[in-house]
Amino acid sequence: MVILITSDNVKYVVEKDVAELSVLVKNMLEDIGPSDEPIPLHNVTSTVFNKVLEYCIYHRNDPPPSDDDEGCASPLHKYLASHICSEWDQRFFDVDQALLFDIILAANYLDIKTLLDDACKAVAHLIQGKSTEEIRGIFNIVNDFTPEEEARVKKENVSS
Amino acid sequence: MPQVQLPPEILDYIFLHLRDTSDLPTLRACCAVSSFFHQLAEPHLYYQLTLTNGDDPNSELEYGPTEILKAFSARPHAADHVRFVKIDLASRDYSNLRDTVLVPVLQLLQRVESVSLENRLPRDDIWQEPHRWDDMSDEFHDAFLRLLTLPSLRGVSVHDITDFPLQILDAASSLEHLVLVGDFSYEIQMRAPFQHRARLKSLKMGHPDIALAYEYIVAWLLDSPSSPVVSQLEDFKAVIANDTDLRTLSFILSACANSLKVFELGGSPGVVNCFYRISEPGSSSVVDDEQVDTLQLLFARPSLDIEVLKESPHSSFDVKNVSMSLPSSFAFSSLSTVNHLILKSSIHALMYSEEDSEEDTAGEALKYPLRYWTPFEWMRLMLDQFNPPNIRHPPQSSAVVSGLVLERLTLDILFEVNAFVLSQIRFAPLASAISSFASTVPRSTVEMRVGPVVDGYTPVMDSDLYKVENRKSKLVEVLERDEHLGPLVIKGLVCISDINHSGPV
Repeated sequence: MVILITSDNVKYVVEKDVAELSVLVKNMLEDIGPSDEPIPLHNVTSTVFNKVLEYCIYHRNDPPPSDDDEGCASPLHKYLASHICSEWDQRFFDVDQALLFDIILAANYLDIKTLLDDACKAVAHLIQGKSTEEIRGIFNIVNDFTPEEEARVKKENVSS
Repeated sequence: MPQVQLPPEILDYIFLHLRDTSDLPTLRACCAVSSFFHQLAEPHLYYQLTLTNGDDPNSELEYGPTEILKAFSARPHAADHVRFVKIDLASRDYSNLRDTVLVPVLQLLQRVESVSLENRLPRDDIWQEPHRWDDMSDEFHDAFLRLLTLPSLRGVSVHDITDFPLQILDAASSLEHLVLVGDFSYEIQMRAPFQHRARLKSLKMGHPDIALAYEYIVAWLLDSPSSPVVSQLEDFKAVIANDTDLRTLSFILSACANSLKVFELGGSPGVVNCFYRISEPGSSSVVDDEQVDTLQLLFARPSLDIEVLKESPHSSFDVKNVSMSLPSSFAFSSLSTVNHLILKSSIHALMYSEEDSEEDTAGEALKYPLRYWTPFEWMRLMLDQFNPPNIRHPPQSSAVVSGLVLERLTLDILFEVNAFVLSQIRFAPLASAISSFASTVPRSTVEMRVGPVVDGYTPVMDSDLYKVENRKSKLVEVLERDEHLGPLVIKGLVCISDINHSGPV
């Protein structure tokens, strides 16, 4: 078992194989060797870590992401890989937007590639079909274009 | 509104997903969010460019080459974002391909990593012959050749361009990934060989049952002093569509026997599938097993003898004989470095309802038996080549089979049948082969994909199984209920997907 402590001082006792889905934690465990010393997770609150832990426990037996998958994946695989297709995953990411962004930041910090990948797909799905103004709201972005620049950008961006 | 700001690398990753799902409208909206978003999203917007000269009214392309040229002229750096260009030659007019409209755009592309030249036939005219390379304009030829010489170019894909001259690919000196589908030609040139030969990492070949299609490719790859080198090939995918293809492919397999890691072999149904007749409920019989002979060709000492054109000093062409043979018989056990084997094929059926039955001379309705074809026997024979029975269960190292280092096996089977036929198919031989192989190769999976029903006939006794809302669940239920297949689904050895739906079943 591994002891993890979140930034708001909540202690978690986690099975090693689950904890090691985080490359950050795995590397820290290798660095400190056999020890009962708690591992601090400075950038993750307990609210967010609860969700991260839920994901890791559910996906603990998934095959690790393979480097050669990209090269030899069938079109079907690529299609499936680009969509969140598990009902469980869809329910997992059906959270308020602030928490979804926090999960992304936590996955990035903890270096959990599959969670980061799935969460980014969820955000891509969230903004799908949205207008520029709606996307600004979702990402909390201030428009720094002049009206003329914005019109020009919209007019110029053709591609197929 | 959340106060969290995502870092640029995360935003880039999100835009990558939009690109992967071809969600260009959302990417365009992202470009207009702010100058920072514009900077991040624009490269994804232009990453893949599809150009067509076609007049297909059903085309899904939003912009034609004229609009794209206008956009690139206004913002020249946008053309530098293009990494993958797909050229769809889709015109129906043989006398005027209108390919010159593509040339000004192609000339602006400087950093292309992959180019795909395809003959995309209009959807309402499936009988149209593919265009020939010689039908295309000199201007288009020049623009395409310029793309081949770009230092950034890593991939080339050619689909259904009749008599595409393989030797022009010699100019792509940085080529690593090559896809050749269709009918090709190879002519020996007089010019001095290129100084630098490309080294292929991946090669994919296919053809719609064209005689000598692979022979020209093999002659070009192994006989030309300028063609890409295949001795370091890591990924090789090919479809066998007639009974000489396996023998021809063995030349390439021999050349890369010490480097190949992923080997995918697709079997066209006519070559690899056994023909079964459903004679009575619960039983079926093999009618035809010609594919066994095809497999035996691998063990013959293969030789290749083909005539190709050779440029002569008098601006004409002579004929040269290209002959080659392998020093010894080829067998899959020579592929000592392959760690992922993929076998692909499909199951399909031909069914008649009573209404479709013909009448004999006496006016009696002829009762055609229900028939279906499966590649199970072919797959079992192929697996036996990788996993001979006498060493099927090695005592120590389970990952080493017959000197191979197979780590992963994928059997990709597409079902083009309905639930009734599925219920008649015997999965025992396939289940047995899978179970045997799974004990030696840890990552053995069978991907079964339920595809569209193509037989077009509806047996009267089963009409409710064809209802769209029922089909998915019925087909999957039949597969999962099978006494031999079901346990493998539970064990996770068999994965079933429905290609008509977005997710795995």
